[in-house]
Amino acid sequence: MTEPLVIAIAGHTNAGKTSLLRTLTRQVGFGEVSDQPGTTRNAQALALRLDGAVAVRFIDTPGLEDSVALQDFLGRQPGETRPERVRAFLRGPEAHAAFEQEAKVLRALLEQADCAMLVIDTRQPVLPKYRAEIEILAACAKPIMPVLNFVRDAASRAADWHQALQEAGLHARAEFDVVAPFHGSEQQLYTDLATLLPQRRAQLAGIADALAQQARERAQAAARVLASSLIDVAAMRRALPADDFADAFKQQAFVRAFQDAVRRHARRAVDDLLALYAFRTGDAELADLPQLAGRWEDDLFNPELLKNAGARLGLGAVIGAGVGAVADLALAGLSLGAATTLGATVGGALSGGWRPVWRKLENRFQGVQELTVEDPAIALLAERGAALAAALARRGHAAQQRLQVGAAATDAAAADEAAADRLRQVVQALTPARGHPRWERGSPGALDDGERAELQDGVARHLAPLLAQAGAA
Amino acid sequence: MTVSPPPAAPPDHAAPRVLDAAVVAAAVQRIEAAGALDDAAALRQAFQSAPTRAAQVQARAWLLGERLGLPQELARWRLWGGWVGLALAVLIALAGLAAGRSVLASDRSINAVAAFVSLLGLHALTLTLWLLGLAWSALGAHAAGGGFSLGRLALGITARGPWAGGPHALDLWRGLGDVLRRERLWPWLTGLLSHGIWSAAFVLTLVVLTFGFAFQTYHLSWQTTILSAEFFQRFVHITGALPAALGFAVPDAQAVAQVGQAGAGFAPPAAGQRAWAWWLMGCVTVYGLLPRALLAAVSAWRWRTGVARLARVDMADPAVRAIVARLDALEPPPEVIDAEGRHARAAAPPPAAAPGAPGTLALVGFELPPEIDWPAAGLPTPTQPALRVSGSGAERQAALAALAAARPATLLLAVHASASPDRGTARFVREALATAGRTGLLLLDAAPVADAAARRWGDWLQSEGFGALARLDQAQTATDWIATSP
Repeated sequence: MTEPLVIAIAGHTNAGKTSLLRTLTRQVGFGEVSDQPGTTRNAQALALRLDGAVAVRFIDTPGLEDSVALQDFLGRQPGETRPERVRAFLRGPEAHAAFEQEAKVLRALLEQADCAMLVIDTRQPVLPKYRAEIEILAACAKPIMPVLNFVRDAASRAADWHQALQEAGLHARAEFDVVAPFHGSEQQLYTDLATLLPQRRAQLAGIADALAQQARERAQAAARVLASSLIDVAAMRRALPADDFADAFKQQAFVRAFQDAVRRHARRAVDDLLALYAFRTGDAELADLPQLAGRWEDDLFNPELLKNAGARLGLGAVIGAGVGAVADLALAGLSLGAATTLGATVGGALSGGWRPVWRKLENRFQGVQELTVEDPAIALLAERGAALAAALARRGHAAQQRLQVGAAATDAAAADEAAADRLRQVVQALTPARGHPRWERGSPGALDDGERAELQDGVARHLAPLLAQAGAA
Repeated sequence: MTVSPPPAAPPDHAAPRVLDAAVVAAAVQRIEAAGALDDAAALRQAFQSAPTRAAQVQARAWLLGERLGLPQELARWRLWGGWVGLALAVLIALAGLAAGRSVLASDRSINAVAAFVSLLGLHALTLTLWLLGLAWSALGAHAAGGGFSLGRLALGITARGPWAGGPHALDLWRGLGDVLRRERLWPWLTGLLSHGIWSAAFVLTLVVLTFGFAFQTYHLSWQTTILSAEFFQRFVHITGALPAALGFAVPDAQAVAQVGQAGAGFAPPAAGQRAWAWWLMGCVTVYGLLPRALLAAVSAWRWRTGVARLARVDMADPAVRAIVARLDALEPPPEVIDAEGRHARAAAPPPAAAPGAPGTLALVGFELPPEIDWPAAGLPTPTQPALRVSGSGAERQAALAALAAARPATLLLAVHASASPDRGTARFVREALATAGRTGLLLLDAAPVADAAARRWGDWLQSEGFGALARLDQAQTATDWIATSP
C-alpha cells in the first residue's frame, strides 16, 4: 500500500475522541476513556492496521478547550491567510503556554494530517465555543469530516448540529454512537472520506473493502464458535447406573453436575466470542433473571423459556418431546432415560456406525440411564449465542457500561416466524451430534474428526442468517 | 502427501511446500487445541519475518511444527508413501501381468469374451466405486472421500506403517485429513494415486498382450451354454464401436459367428483372428487405460489447483483469529508524538478586594442550553438583571464588564451540569471571581443533576484551584447559600 492516510481526531474535551479511536482501531486498551475532562493531553499516533500493514495513522489530540479565546488570539496574529496566521501562532510563545493543548491539535492537523475527524457530542447545544472550534480547524485548510457522537442518546440535538455544520460549510458527516458504533457503516465512513480526499479515493476504497472483509470473517468465526459449542452440548451424554438412578439424592447431584457441564460449554462459547470481538472477559455481563443466580447460562434450564423454545421448535408445549420422553420439570431441558435418546441415536448411527445403538440397548437392558440435552435447551443456547455475537459485532470498544443480553431480544425474535424456522434448521442440523458422544470437547476420549468439522461448518452455515438477523433486530 | 518418488533433497526450510505448510499448520492447530504451546518466540519471529497476518500465522505454525519435528515426520511419510505407492503399483502391475498371462493361456486358445471380462472386470468395479465416492463427496455429504480405492489403501498403509510411529503421527494424519477436507481434495488425491497405479498396470497388461499376440499364434473364440450367437455378435459390435473409431480392427458379425461354431480342430481364418486380437487390445486400451489415464490427469490437475488454494489461510477460523489478535498485540504501542508540557496553572485570583454593597447579588448563566430557564425558578431576585452568556467572545467581555462595574457581594454562576468543564470555562470563572465578594457555582440540568456530573465539576474545581467556590447542585441549595450572609 502507499503512504498511510493520516487522520487527526479533533474535538471538544470529552466529546469521545478516544472512544472513536478505540472503535476504529479495535484496540480496547488504547488511551484512557473517562468522563473526566481533558483525559487526553498528549498527541498520540495510533495505527489502523489491515493485515499487518498500516492503513491509517490516527492522531489522537487533546481537546480544544479554550476555542473562543484562541479564535480571538488567532485573529490578532500576523498573516494574509488563515493557515499563515495559524503558523504564526504555532511559532509564538503562547503555543507552548496558554494554548498548548490547542496548539498540539493545530500542529498535528497542519503539519501531519491529510484530514481531520471532528468529534462532536451531539447532546451539547451548539454553543459559540463549538462554532469557534470548527472555525479554528477550518483555518488549517484541511478537509474536515464531522463525526456526530451520541446520536442515539435521548438528549441528542443532532438536527441542530446538522444545521450548524451546514452553516460552517461542512456537508459531509458521519454518525457514531459508542454503544452501537457505526452499525456496519464504518466502511461508509471511509467511502465518505473519499469525497473529501479525492486523490486518496482508491486507497480509501481499499480500506473500506478490507474492513468489510474483516467483518465478514469475524461473523463467520463467531458462527463457527457457536456451532462448535452447540455440537458439544448436543453430543453430551452421561450414563447413570441403575442404583444411583434409584437414589433421589444421587440422581439430583447427577443432574446438577450435568447442568454445570452444559453451562461450562456455554461459558466457553461466551468467552470465545468475547475474545473474537477483542473484548475482555467480564466486559459483557449477561442478563439477570431474578429467579436464577444471575448468569445467562442458567436460562438454559429455565422451564418457562424452555417451554417457549419448545413451542417455537414445533415440539408442542411439553418439555421433553423427544422419542419416548417423559415430561419432567425437574429435568428442565434435559432428558433422562435409556429410551429417550434412542431415536436420536438411530439418526446419528447413520453416520457413526451401529455400535452406539447396541450400547444403548445394552444400557437399557441393564437399567442404565443416560442424560442428554433436549432440543429446546439447544435452541435457547443457539438463540442467546447468536444475539450475543450480533451485539458484540455492533458494539464499540469504549463502552463503559456493561452489556446486557436480555430476554427482550429473545422475545423480539420469538415473534419472528422466520427466526423460529432458522432455529429449527439449526437444531435439526445438530442431529448427527446426538450419536457421537466423543464429539463433546473436553470429554474423555474426545474426538475432533473430519465429520465433526463438517458438521460444524454445516451448523455454522445455518447459524449465519440467525446472526445477521439478531444483528438487524 | 503425494506418492511422487522420494524427494532427492530435504525440503527447503525457508519456503516449505504449500501442502506441507498447510498440513503442519493443521496438525499444530490440533496439538494446540489439546493444550497451549509455548509460542512466544515463534510468534515474535513470525511477526518479524512475514508481511501479512496470514503469512505470519502460517510462519508461526511452521516454526512450532519444526520445533515439534513435524516436517521431518512428514518427510518420512512422504518417503514411505513413495515406497508404498511403488509397492502397490508393482502389485497391481503383477496382477495385470497375471491377468494378461491368464488370458494368454498355454494351450493357445483364448475365450475372447471371458478374457474381456477378466481384464476389465475388477477395474470397472473399482472405477464405479470411485465415481460413487466422488458423487457422494460432491453432494457434500462426506468430504472424506468415502469408499475404497487403491489411493485410500496407499494412504492408509502409509499412515499406519511402523515408520509412522512418531509422537504426533495421529495429529499429522488428522491434520492432513483437515486440510484435504477443507478443499475437498480427498477424492482427487486418492484418485491420482489409484488411477496412476491402474494406468501403469494397464500399460503392462497391454505390453504383455502385444508381445503374446505378436510372436505367438492364439485361437480366439467364444463359448456358451445358454447365450445365443446374436448376443456375442451384438456384444462385440457394441464394445468394438469405440476401438474401431480409433482404428482398431474389430471382427465383423460373420467372423463372430464363425469362431463360435468352431469345434476342435477347426482352423479359423487368420484375418478374423487378427481382428479378434486387435479388438481385445483395443478394448483394454479404450475401456481400461484411456479412462484411467484421463482420470489420473484430471485428478492431478484438480490436485494441483487444490494444493495451490491451500496457501490461503482460513482467516474465519476462530483459532486463527485468536492468533491474529495476539499478533496485533505485538504491534508497537501508540507513540506520543507531542508530549504534554508541564505548566503551572494560572492561580485563582483572590476575591474582589472591595466588593460592592452587602446583599448585592449577580446571577450569570454561562453556556446554558436553550431549554434551561435562566434565572432558574426559586432563586432570589438579583440586584441587577440576570445575565445569560452563550459563550461568544463579545458576550463574555460584556458580562465581565458588567460584573466589574457592579462588583456584587455574591455572584451565582450557573453552568450546564452535563457539559464538560473546560479551560474556556475556567478562564471565564477566573475573571469573574475577581469581581465578586464570593462566588457560587450552580449546576443546572434539564433532569436532576447526576452524581457523576456533580463529582466531575467538583474535581474540576479542585484541580483548577477554585476550591473557594461553593458548588451548588440545586436551585434550593443555591438559595440557601445566598441567604447565608458572607
